[in-house]
Amino acid sequence: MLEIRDLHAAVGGKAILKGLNLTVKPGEVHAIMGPNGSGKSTLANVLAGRDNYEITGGEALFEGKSLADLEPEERAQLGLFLAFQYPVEIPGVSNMEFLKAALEATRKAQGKEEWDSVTLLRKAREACKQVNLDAQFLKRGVNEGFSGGEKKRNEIMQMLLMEPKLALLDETDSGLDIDALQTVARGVNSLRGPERGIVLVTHYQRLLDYIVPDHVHVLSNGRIIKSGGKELALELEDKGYGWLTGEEGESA
Amino acid sequence: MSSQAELDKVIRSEYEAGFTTLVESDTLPPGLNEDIIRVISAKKEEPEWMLEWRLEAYRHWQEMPEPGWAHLNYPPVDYNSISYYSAPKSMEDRPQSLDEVDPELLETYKKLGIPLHEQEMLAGVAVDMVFDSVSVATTFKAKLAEAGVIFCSISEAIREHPELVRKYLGTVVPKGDNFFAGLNSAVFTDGSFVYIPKGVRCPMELSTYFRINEANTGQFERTLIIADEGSYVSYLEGCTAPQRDENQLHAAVVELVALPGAEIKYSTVQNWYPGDENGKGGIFNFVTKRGVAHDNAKISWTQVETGSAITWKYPSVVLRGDNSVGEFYSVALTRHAQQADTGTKMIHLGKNTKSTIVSKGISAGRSNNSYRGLVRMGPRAENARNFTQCDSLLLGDTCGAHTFPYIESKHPSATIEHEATTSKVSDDQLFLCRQRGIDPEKAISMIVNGFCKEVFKELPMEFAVEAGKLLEVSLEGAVG
Amino acid sequence: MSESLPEDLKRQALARAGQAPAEDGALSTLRRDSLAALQSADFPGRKSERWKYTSLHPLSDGHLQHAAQGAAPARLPVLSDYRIVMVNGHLDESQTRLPEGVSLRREAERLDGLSNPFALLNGAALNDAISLEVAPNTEVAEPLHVLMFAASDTPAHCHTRLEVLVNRGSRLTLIEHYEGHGAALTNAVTAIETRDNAQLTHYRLQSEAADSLHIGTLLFQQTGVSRIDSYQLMAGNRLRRNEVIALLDKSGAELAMNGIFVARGRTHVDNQLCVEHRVPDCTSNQIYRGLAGEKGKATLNGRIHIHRGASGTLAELSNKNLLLNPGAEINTKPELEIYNDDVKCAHGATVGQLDAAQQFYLRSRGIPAADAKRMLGLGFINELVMALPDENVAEWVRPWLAAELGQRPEAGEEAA
Repeated sequence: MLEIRDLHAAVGGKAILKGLNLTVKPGEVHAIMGPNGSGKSTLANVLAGRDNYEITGGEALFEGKSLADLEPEERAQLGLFLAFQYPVEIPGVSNMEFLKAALEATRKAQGKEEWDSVTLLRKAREACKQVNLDAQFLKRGVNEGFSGGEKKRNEIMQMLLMEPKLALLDETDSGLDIDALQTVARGVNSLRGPERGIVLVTHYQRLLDYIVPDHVHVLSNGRIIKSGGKELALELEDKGYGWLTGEEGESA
Repeated sequence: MSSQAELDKVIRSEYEAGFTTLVESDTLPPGLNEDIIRVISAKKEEPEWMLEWRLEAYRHWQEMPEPGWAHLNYPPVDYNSISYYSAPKSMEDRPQSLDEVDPELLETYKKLGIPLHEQEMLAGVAVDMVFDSVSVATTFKAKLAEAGVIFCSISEAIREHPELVRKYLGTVVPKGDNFFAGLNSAVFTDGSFVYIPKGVRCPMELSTYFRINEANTGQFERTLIIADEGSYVSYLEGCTAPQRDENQLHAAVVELVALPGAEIKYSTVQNWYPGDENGKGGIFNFVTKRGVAHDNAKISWTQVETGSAITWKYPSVVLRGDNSVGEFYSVALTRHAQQADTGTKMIHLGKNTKSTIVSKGISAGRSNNSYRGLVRMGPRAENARNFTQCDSLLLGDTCGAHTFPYIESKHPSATIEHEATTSKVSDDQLFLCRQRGIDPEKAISMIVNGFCKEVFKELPMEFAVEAGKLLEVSLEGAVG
Repeated sequence: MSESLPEDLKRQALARAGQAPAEDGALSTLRRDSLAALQSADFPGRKSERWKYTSLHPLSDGHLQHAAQGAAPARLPVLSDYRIVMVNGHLDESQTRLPEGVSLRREAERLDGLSNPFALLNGAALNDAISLEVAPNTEVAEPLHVLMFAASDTPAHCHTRLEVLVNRGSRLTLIEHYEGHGAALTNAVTAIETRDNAQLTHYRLQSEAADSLHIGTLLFQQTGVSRIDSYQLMAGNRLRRNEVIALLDKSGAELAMNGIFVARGRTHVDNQLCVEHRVPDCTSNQIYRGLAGEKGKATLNGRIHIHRGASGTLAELSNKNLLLNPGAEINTKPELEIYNDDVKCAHGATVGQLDAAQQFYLRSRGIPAADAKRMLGLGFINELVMALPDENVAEWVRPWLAAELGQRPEAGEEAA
């Protein structure tokens, strides 16, 4: 469903991705690991279509369509979901209103049956419960005044409702305590299925204790320099990135 | 003692620069007409084009109304009762070096804390001294010349560097810009001229010290600073005047030109005689200061204003070039019956232009202190940014503190943020200091200094010390 | 040489005032005194500081020469069971339904504090007036909806006048609502006095069509320890100018004013606010949000004046503005004039655009760009809409503002 070939991308004119290849098939969970500055978050943002994240070479196909040609909302409507590393606060726009607009647009585009307000509210409450978020949060402004952990859980809650084909989770584990990490992992695991791809972008191995990936890739200097099974993550945990990048290991 | 009583004591300090120098002067009779302008021009041995420029300005000025929009209240100025030129007699022969300057004059500057002998001076500061209508001396000229820097009086520049003066004079502040700028253009007598060549970082701070001495005399100085591409200069300006019962007029024009990539830092410590407790005497200070910043250039104004009976002054930056930067940092303290209407204008024309305004107003006595500012984002000012912080501190309940910020935006990607607060020195703050053993006078001075810190840190170090002291003196009680 | 516009307007105004019947007992004193004051007043020209951002040029079509004659539509908005309807400056008695404890007289007398030339013209030339009084110690449970309708196919004007006294210990919710369309200028004056322990919830809805004109003067005078919560919602039109004067005249008085103004298309809104703290220990809090899009022009001048003796004052003003696209214009000037040190005053103003990160977040969830913009625009003012205490009003306001914000940009400007 996701086919990335020799992808080059720049942020504000600075080259970050330098020939990245990655294939994600339905039902697979991929973990992309790498040291800070290796391009992990850039990859997530390029795929979602953030401004100033420019594809300068190669291609990224999602369901056979070139992502470069699509607006961010068109990508979302096709079923691509990004859980943000730093979800932005939108005071004055309530979570509920936001979800309604998002689900109306995406479900319609995907030919799914539209939910009426009652259904939406019920589903949203269930999703909140699943990630241990008080349903009161639905009334508040999007991410407004949420703690770091609440913002991350709110992202997963949205993901559960939107049922994407491909979920990109950008450092969703950062800043979470162990309880929240487990909650988030449970949410993600509940979405695993034969039709769905999941890409976890993370710096640390610990999330992978709870969401066991099928494939692990190490990203360094804009390229994937090693791929392997879940055991690769454990090896990285032991040896640090320096082992692969040739620099001083961070946990050496 | 109550904080009010403390404050009363604190704001009743005396003006230390209020003495008069006894020198024989060559002073024109009061009055303003074309003949007077011809005499001024002749005395300065100006070329014909300069005289024509002045006369044009004068004819236009006669048609102009005096502005009335400021939050100021003062008796009408009789422009015919002022003498427009006064120079110490000893200056007639134009001394060639400091050794030839009248010792009386040198003594004046010494008393003001500005030793003129180069060996005594703070290393790294070159000074131009303007006494009434003429420049007395400029130090370190030779050293500056090595770097290609021109630093001299504007009169000398008109004679020696006419091509530069003609090219830039009046391009930033046109001669018909406003009433006071028009008057200045007609009768300006002296001031400083600076030219920094391409790519040169001026090797020392440049400084001008303005002194009004003669009674019934106006001072109309004109300063022109041109920083050529990629150059840098830091310029300091100080002002004092004797203590007199009559009001004296000061109407200056300062023009800054920062060509692409250049940076001009302009700092002022203004301590003109503010008038006495009852509002008698003091300088009327009507000043037009403006800079044009071309692509990637930066102009920074920092001012500490404690003097003048009336202040009308808005150092501004026209951010003409893309990526240009404008800054305005100001402390304005008013006491007795002083009135200040001061602030800045940031006119954003270019893309990615950025301006910062930090204004600290301190009002005491029966004074009125107004901040008046304009931030304008033009239709081409893509991604322009402004941040304004405008704070007032009131000392006592008989003064006034006012804020008039004009904010105009015509570009959606421009961002403007303006904040203003008002506060007082609270009894709690004072009590805490005193409980820790600090006497109230010191405590108030500390609190006020703290209030101004953001601005002081923008001043060159020697000036920051002077500004702090000046503020302390202005706030000091009769001590006893 | 022809007359300048201010001179021309003054001549028309005086001519208009001269046509008002002299012998009408209830209004004649006000007419006479207003006319006298109008004679020595000047209409603002281009150089007038307080009219810096508003040109009276739209009035050069002769709006002041003719009285509006249009008829009211069959259906007018209903926001309460209790209502008063004025059509082109005349009370439609058949529609009046007053709640218990409120009395109505067709009189007007207020001159003090209403000194701008349009308010004087209103006093000098009005044909009808509404004066409401809430009896002492009366709690009026239901809102009173005062609807002022104006319409005209050709340039014309009407004067509306509403004077309200909320007596000691009384409580009132007043909805002052302007509707209309066409080339009609509404020259409105509203003066409200609150006595000790009075509480007023005040709405000012200005939802006239974009082709209409409105010049309004609103005066609050708190002569008693009272509380006023005022919600002012304004859509731009051809010329909209609101002067709001609040006089806090009794220690302990509290005033809260919240406003939203939206200038889309080619519309214009100019708000001139002046809060006068004349005595110690009063509180005022003002929150205004402005939006301008397409070629719209929105202005706010928010003055807080703290008089010498007004120690213990708490006063705040916040004005945030959004510029939606190039071509639109926002001007704001939060002014402080303070003559007392024992006060807490602050103001803040911002002008900016919709946040790019927020837009991306919405779009990454599948929401189309235009909807994202509309949602964020509504979000920007939502805090104030959410605070509207009366549900009927809020229900009417939401779709109206959503429609104002949902306007399509003019052709060619979307690409940016």
